[in-house]
Amino acid sequence: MPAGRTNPFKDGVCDVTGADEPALAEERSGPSRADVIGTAIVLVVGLVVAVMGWGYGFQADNGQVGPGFLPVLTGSFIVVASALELLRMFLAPTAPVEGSFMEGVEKVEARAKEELARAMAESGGGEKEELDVFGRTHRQRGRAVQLVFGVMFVAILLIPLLGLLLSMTLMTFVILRFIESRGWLMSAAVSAGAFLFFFLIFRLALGLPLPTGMLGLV
Amino acid sequence: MTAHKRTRGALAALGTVSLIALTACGNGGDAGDGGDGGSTGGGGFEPGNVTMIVPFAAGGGSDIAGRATAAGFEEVSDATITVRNIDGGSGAVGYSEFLGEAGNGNVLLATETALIALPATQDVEFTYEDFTPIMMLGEDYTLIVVNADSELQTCPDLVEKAKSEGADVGISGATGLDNIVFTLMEEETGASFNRVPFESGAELLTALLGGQVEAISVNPGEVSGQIESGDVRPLCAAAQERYEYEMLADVETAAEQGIDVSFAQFRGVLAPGDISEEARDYWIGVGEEFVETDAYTEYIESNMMQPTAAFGDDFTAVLEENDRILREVVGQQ
Amino acid sequence: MLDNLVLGFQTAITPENLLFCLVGVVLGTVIGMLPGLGSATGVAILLPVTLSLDPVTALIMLAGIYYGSQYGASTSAILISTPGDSSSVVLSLDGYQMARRGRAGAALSISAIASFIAAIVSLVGLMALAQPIARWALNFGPPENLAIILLGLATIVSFAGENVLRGITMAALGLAVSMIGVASGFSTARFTFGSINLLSGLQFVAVMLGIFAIGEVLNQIRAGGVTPIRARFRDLLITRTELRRSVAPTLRGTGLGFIVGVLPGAGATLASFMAYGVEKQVSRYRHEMGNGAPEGVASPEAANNAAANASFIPTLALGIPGSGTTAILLGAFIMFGLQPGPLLFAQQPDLVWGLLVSFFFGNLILLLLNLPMAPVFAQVLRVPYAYLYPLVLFVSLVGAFALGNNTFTVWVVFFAGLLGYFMKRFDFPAAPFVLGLVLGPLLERALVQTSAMGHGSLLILLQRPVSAVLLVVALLALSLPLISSVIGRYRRRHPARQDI
Repeated sequence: MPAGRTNPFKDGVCDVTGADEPALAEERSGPSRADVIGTAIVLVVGLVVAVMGWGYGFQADNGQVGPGFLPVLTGSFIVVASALELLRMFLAPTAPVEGSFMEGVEKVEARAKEELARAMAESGGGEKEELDVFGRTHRQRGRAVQLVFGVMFVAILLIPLLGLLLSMTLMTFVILRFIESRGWLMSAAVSAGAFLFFFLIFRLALGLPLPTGMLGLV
Repeated sequence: MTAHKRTRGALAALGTVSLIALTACGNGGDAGDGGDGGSTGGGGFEPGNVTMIVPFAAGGGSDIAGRATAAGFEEVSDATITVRNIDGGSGAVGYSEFLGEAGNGNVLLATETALIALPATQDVEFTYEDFTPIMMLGEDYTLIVVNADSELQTCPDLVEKAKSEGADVGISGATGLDNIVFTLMEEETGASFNRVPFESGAELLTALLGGQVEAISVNPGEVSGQIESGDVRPLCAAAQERYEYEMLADVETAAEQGIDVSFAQFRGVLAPGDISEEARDYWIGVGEEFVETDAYTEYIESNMMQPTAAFGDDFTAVLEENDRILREVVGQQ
Repeated sequence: MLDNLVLGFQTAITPENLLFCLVGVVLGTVIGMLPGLGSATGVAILLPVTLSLDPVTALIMLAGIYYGSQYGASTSAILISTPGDSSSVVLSLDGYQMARRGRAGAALSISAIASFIAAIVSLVGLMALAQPIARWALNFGPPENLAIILLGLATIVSFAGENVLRGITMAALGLAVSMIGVASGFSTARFTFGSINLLSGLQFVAVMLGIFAIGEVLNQIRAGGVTPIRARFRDLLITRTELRRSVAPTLRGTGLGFIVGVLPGAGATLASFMAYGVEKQVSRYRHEMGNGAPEGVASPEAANNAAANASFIPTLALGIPGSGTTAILLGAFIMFGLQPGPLLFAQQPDLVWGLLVSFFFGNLILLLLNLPMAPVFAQVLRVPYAYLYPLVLFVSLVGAFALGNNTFTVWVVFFAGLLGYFMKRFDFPAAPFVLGLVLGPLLERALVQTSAMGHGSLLILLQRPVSAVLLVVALLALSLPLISSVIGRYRRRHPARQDI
């Protein structure tokens, strides 16, 4: 069975978040690391919002709502809510309180259900067990996500050089040819088709000024 | 919710036939590069594909001014002018982008009081001196208007009410022209208004008609329909002289009523800084020709503006004067 | 009234006007489908093209673009989770789930039918009662708006997912992000870190394009992708059950959308979110919502179309635009030398009534176009995902540029995509975040205005009857689901005292 996306107990590796918290890793029965880190990030953001908001002025000179009013309220709310959430995460699974215990069970049940549905969908959809519809194994998929992000990033950086449409065409071609391993001809044809479609609509029909880049082609 | 859009000005002349071609994604495309030189202006500069930046969203006064000017400029020159709305930050985003176009004679910007108000109130990188003033289209005074049901009859009535029991006035933002007018009135009379900020002329008018605020200060073009229908009643005009437009001829100026306040918003066209002398002369020439056309007169009249066109250095002088007044007002706040 | 209708029909039914109505709605559909090009952009782009036409014809075409794009925007939201416009974001919840379950054709049909019914019902309201409704809506000042927006915020619970606390936190995070930029009514730049581009804040549509379109693509890659749907043509048609289940939600959505749309300061996006929220509370099938329930398509889609039509009420009756797009249409009136204002109905009856009657034809054309096209569009999902997703990225990024006219917006979409990917992967719900993002600016503006009207005190909210009532309703809407979930949990713990 391929590891599910949300299984907190088995798939606790979050390769992309980077942050490492060995203290939590050993606490196997505790909350998932992703949940903790995610909620902690939200808490920090809330804190920043509240503090910066205070600097903008909670109230204006005339006693009316100031530019920092809503940021302070929202930020404080985020801090309190995520602190509660964190607290619950650590206390809930072990605490004898029936309500929160049930909640934990519900959560596990929900996850299991999701897992099952996913597994069924996958076994029903793809003929081969190991490979997904792209022909990738589980490990390759995570890599594909990073690659696609990387290609997008480079393509956007290239806009000032190649222009918008050409960069996007190139991006489509690279994804098709090198990440999806489609044939040269097919990749070229699809990206050229996409280019033509957007050129017709955006440039010819609607006359939108899209950046042409330093090459100044299209 | 903001809207962002850009328009191909050249299309005004296109007829029905090419419209259908266009909808079929056919060849209704760019009509050449318009690169064969202007019929006006000094030699040496030939416009290519020109962009007219409007630093506000489509639909507002600046947008209408920008589109009218772009169409008018196109008619008297051979340039192809595309309107681009780059809105945000009360105009700051558009002006800042424009700042980056220094030296490019193929970009213009439809300017108004934000050019002065932004540097005076916010942390932006530009002042009017960073750009090349081409022409002022005209000036737009404001009317102080109230709901038709209001018991107020004159501007001094409004001031009186503000002093005795307080009066809520709507403004269109901290740097809006209306805020300046009310601030000038406060300085002149010693009253103080309670300001309720709104985002657009439309919102202001809604609030006034709904009785949420006592009075607002608006350009006459924005309320002519409501004045005609009798929903809205002008108290006074914050102008130096009475309007010549028939509908507003009876409206007394604030000075006539004893409050010596007048402030005009200008609308005009800027070119980026550091453009060539030829390019500057070319666009001033185009502007001078545009002012003679019916399109110009129609624009001014339908918006009830003052046809006080000025070019080049004369426009710069107007900007200097505006800058002085505005910094005084803001400085004392 | 009847005379006016006849006059309207005489105006609208000329071959030329019908032709341009058709041109408008088709163009609108295409523009709506492309992310980044919403109705406002579409109308502004094509406005100059119409200047050579007769004013009535031109306005008929421009209005056609407006409501046509409402139809188109849902299509791309349903098929590829790429909402074409902000008012169809909600469609990428249940609509997209329906498509993933092989019911794309049905979802598109429901959306077309719901749009049509909402349009016709609200059109009747618009024709019969434009003036009185417009006058009534004027009573809604900032305090009432604030109360309505709080009511909108109360629907968060419906979007929050299993973990309600986390859902609400995400909504607050969305609110916080919406505060980037110059504060309403002030000149203080907040959270901009010196960037000029951030002065006007992050564009809602850009953020949501990133979260929904790009985030979804990358999650699909990670989850192993989706198999192309190999449904037979017959399976793509809408079933009787789906149709039956859509009726009540459509009518509820229409009513809600019409009311919210006519009020100043709200709009179609808020209307569609609120309609979804209401449905999630009252529908018999509320537990299926979020996983591809027809109710989750019909109701918000009806609401967004009804609201779009309702925004014509202040526009035509008072000369005050009711939405961003009608503001541009109003600009068109001025360019044609027409003076918009309360006298428009009296002075230009042929124009106003011709325009209104054309809505009827336009929506009819859209229904007739969209119903047979629904199964055809659904064929898109037969394209292998490996080919489909690079194209989704392409259209999203080009749309991003068109949205803000600069590369900065493209970056916003990219980073929002990154955020959307992580949110989905680690189970932080995106929908409440987006709701917070939509409501943030509205909430803050109403709050600042209310505080100014109350001279610093917010008690004015309780002093005005309408806002006080709305506030109570909002509190109830927020607390009832919480209470009922507590009761539900209690029941589950004590299965002996079972169901009613």
